[in-house]
Amino acid sequence: MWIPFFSSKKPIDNQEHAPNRQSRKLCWEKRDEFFNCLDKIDILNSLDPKNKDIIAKNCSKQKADFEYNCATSWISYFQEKRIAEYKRSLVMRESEESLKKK
Amino acid sequence: MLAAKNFLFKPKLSLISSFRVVAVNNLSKSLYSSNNTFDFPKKDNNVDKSEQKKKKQYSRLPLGVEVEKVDPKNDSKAIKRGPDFEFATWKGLVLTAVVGVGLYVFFKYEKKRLETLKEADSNRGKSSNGYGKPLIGGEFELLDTKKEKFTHENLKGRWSIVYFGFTHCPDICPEELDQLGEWLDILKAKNYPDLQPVFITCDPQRDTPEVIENYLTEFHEGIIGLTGTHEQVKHACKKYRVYFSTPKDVPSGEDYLVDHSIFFYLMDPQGEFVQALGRQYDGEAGALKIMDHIDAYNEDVKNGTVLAGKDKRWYDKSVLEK
Repeated sequence: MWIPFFSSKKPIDNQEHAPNRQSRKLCWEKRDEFFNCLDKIDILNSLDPKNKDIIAKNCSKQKADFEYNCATSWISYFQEKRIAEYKRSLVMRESEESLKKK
Repeated sequence: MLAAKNFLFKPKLSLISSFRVVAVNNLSKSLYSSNNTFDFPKKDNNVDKSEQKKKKQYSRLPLGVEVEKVDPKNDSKAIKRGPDFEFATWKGLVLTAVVGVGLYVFFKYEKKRLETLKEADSNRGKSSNGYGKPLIGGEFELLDTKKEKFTHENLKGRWSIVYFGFTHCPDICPEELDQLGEWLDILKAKNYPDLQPVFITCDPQRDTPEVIENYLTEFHEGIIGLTGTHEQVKHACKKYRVYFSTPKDVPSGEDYLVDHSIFFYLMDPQGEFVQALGRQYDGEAGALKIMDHIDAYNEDVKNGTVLAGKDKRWYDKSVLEK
């Protein structure tokens, strides 16, 4: 398991060259697995410390894989993006429904 | 007094009304009788009366006109009565359809062409309606992956599409660069091969020419990767109104994200900004939009009216030959 600040550097975090297509793909796959797991336990904000325990209990492996295979700066970016996209979809649905009513 | 007045008037009124009833009665009688005289001869006695009542027929001829039986072959008068050209013939219908469809297609094409031109023109800030010019594009000086100088002059002479990003971008830039590759393939297939794709980094700290060169090998061939000093990149981004922010005080070797705006900038062969293509042009729509712009521009070059900016800009007809 990769622990921030303690473990050795992840290959994707190499600042000498950019992540390649393969490593990006791997990261995205692990991200999707982690997010699917979060969906199952009905967690939206995976960054909220409140949810830390329940995530550790149910999705610890997916989370570790996701964090190891994605660049450090992407980890919180993807999780924030998931929340933003969910909120966006809610707004879209709401506006569509209100249009239908008219 | 009032009652007396009423009493006085009443007989008179009743007299008038009764007279009117009589008159109406007479009229209806006369109508009825006249109807009878012009009624169709009851040929079929087999049909029972109830059905006949339902199918009451009216003559198309005015009352009192005798039907004149004319043989059209013998009577020249009858032939000359109508116009010489009969609109309802099949030839007429075909002609109308052909002319109609032709005009429709022509106007549709013209409308689209003019709209595209107008859009490009207004983005160049030279439209008749006097909208301001969006200040996108301009001078810049950067280095390409072969460490050679690449400036705004290199955008002239061919169409270019400029994209700003960074190589450590998590998901959007690689997707957008794949999108660019898709457009380039579509454009090539449709015989618009001469488009110059340019990638400008917003992260000069990490994105050296080598890093960019390596990064771009995974995308469509021919994409020109540009970088420079922090100042040069900042200047280029400013010219293109690209917002970007690099977090401050990142220890070297640490990973970080660069926040930046996502647009493709379509630049014409004079190096002038034509349109920003955002994510609403994902997929084939973007390629079609680019083709529309190239077509409209070429048409203009052919007509010798290279938009309103000809005073300011050069153009050469060799653009067409390419």
